[in-house]
Amino acid sequence: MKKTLWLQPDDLNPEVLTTLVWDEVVYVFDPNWLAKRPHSLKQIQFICEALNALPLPVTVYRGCPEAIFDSAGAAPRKIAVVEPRDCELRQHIGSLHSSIQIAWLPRSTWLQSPDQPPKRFFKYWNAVKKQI
Amino acid sequence: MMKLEPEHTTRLELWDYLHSTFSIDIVSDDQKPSQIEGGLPSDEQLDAAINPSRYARTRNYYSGHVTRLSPYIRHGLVKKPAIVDLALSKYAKSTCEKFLQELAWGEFWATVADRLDGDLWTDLEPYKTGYAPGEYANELPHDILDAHTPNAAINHFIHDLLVDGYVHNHARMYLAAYVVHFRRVKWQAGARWFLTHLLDADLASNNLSWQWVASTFSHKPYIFNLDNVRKYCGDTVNCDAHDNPELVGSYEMLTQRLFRTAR
Repeated sequence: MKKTLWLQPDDLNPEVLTTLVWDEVVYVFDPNWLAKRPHSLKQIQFICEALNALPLPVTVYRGCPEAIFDSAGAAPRKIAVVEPRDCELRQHIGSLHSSIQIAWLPRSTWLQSPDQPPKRFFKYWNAVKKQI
Repeated sequence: MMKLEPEHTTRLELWDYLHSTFSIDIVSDDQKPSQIEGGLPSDEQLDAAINPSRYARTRNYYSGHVTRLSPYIRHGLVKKPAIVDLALSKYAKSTCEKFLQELAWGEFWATVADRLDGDLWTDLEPYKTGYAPGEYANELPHDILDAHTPNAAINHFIHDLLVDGYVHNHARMYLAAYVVHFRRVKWQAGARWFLTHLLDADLASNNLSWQWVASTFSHKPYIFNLDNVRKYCGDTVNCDAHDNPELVGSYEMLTQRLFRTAR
């Protein structure tokens, strides 16, 4: 089975890109997502330039993920996605057709959130600064 | 579906290619690429950008020393622990405090967003302005979208947003306060606008910051006046009173004018 890493805009250069072995790395500009979350062309160009600079080659598509990952005759794939920070993007990917089997990888975090997350920043800061 | 060919000799060639590929997807009429180029920042770039001492002293000034790394951080092209390590290798932790706090704001907003179960478009609290949500407009007026407001300073900041996809943090607060309080437009309309254009647009940080300015996630609304813009941006931005008529006045006058609670 082909091992595919599907990159997301939150983390175009995840640690797993180079620490694990992939048969292919892909990025998808999904028109349904672009309709939900409007983009400027500058944002799209920034992402493309970043993808070009990554240490592994990335195949970039514009199209529905179902059509890209589930095209007739394609070899079966195991698709890994680093869980996006963006909750709406996470929901959007989760709502894709069940023909796409996604293995979620944990996203990297810098500060561990306190058990009782404070409502205002400086209480949060006082709780987390000892981690630094 | 279409397989893209994102490798081009120049940025303008890539721009033209993407323009034809995404013409039906994009909402804005961008004319040229941002000066901020996507990629992996080099060690030299990071070293030059990260100066917590200057950051602490000058970050609120439009020409102050801010890293401008936010588009790279937002897309995971440079990681916060690497930035922290670099900062702490050059400066004492006490010198880095403001800089580290700024990095932590994004984590804080993410924890708040997690608590909200994905609903980042609803007012968290009532407006503390005396106005009900229904008294705010749903859409941004055209003069804001086109950077043709009566105020030169505001137009300058909108221009930054539209041309570079980057706005200094203090100017973001001015823009947000102008949209919500001076023009009485719902924060959601402004938040959508920023998400569409900022290269570092992050849903949680963006929307919750707009709510903070609007007062639906803070004790009181954030406002500013022309004197404040002049203090922090006057060396670069046109802060002439004749060219910024809506922003002129003391805080007391503006509070009286802008908020029903103050009348």
